[in-house]
Amino acid sequence: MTDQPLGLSKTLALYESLVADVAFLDAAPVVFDGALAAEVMATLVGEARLLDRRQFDKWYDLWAEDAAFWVPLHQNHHPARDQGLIMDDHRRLRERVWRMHDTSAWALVPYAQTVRMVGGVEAWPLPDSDADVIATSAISITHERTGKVTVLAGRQIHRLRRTDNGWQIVRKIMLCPAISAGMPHLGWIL
Amino acid sequence: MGENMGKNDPETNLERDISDSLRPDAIVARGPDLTDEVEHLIRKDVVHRRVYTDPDLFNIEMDRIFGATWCFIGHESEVPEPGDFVRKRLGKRQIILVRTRKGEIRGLLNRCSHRGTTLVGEEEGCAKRFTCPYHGWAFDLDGHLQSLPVADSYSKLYERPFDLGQIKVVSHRGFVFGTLAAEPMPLDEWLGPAKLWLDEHIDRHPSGNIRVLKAPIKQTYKANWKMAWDNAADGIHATFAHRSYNLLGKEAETDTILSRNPAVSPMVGYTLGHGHCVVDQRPGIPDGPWSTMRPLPTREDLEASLKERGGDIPRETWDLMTGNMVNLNIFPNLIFVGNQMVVPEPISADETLMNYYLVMADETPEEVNLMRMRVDEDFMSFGIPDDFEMFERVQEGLQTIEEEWVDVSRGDDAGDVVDEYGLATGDLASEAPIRHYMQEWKRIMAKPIPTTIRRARIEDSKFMKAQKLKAESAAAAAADAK
Repeated sequence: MTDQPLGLSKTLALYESLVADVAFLDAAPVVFDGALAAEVMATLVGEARLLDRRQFDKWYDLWAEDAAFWVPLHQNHHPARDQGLIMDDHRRLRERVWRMHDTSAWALVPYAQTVRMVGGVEAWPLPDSDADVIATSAISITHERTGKVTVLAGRQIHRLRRTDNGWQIVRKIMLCPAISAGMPHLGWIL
Repeated sequence: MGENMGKNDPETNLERDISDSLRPDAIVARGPDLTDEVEHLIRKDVVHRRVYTDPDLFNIEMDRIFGATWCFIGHESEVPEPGDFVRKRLGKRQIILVRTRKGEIRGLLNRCSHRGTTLVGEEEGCAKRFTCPYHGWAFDLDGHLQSLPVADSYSKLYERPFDLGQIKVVSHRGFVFGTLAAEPMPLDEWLGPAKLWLDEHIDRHPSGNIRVLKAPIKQTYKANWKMAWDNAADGIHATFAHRSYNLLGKEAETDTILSRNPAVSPMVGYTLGHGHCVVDQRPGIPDGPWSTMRPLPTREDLEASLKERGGDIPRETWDLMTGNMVNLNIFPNLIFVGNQMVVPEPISADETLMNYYLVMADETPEEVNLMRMRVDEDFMSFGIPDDFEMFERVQEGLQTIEEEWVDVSRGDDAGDVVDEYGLATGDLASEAPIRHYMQEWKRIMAKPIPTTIRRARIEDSKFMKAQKLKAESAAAAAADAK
């Protein structure tokens, strides 16, 4: 790794770390800090509400500058070796939010109605990392637009950072089995 | 057909050939003669709506266009080692594209020769043999029956056609095309001038080395598969349908190629025979493809990394990170966009599954392939959803049965130049590519096409030979006993 140019090392390190967060699901103890999980739950359901109510700018404000949002095609995929559906940094998240308001984004207007159900939240402290907490939860999203309904279920993995202004989202990974089977485009997913 | 012709399902039109089709090597031409029908549906400058909406026509397409002519099946790099396989589709049929022990590529029908069970359920894998989960029949990688539990329950087993059915496959530089046609046109002839464009695409990669990632992005839209085809060579829709993507580019201060004024674009399209066509955007981008690339995740890091490697990184290497700005479309199911190969898979007259395969360029700095992944995720998020929206809206619009005709005359006698072979060159507004593939559609759909299932020869099967030997020695023993 030491011989690699800095930019390459940095990119690969992020990708390895994302894969490690998925692997953590198998290694994490079943027993977790219930008080911490309750605190995280409040943030995750808050995130879901902002997205369902189209408060995308407020949602964007939850994100840290070193944001990473990853939606792989399959839970075993690796961002350095497989194409994904989404592999965003802070700047591309900004573009996604911009597009949610763009009236010439034909696939998104008229606007969709969505409801996200978040449940089964677990959270663990994440010492010596870029965040304070790693959390996982199950999500079910019902999406309606122009009379067509899409239902998408997934497992979310969040990294959250404690700040003076509350929790920040550092990372979000969404593992959604239906994506690998083939489904209508997810140009609306956040 | 459909609304006005009654039942013509190719599945039920076998009266003439039903006895023949019992033979394992039968050559059967299925379905009705549609010569008059397609003359009615496809005119010089207009196409009938039923070409996109009629379920009966769709069923015949699955027989003739996705079966009885050449289709793209997969790329050899998806099955690099003996035993490697990927599950593909040719129309409704499942195909196991496999590399044999000898390193050959075969297209086996994923259908047990006993009762029809699919042999593999995985999208990809590596196998020594294919064993049917239902009754335990096993087939080798060449499709020979290798073992059959309780073989004694058959009299003259060796006379039954139990080796796996196969399609004919022919590769051009790693690109595998397949067909069930009994006498297909030579692949070279069918590709025609498109082969030169395909070669150019391949040769862009160092040593012509292309590696296709096995897992495509799969997305469905609720419209006919030909909507993707109408769109593939349509240069002018980008300005309007992709207005959002273009605005995004402007916001990011990257003037994407799509956002320029279509009236003054020097982009050019060519029809290439047998429905193939190409749109060459390069004349409009003198600074090369990389110059059009938007800010993307990891871009700055990987750019800095490439520069840090020192030496003079040639422009070709930078350009490899994005597409070559040449949209090559090989009818009926292979579309090159950016660094992706798009394989439309028809589901029904009004539903299509699009498979977006990403192509990797090996023998390049690692940054190139890392960047390729992030480049193609961009248009998947911000471009393709708007294309799908257009396809679905067209399909909805075509439900008005009184408006029978779709106009595709743009460019005809108004800018298109047609050469002595009938191939057209047009600007990016021209609909010559649509008219061109519709003529190929008409040619293929007009008449029943003789098809046949290839099989590994029974005489080559060790298992069958042993069965025959066993039966013969048993008969001899019985004769001796008398």
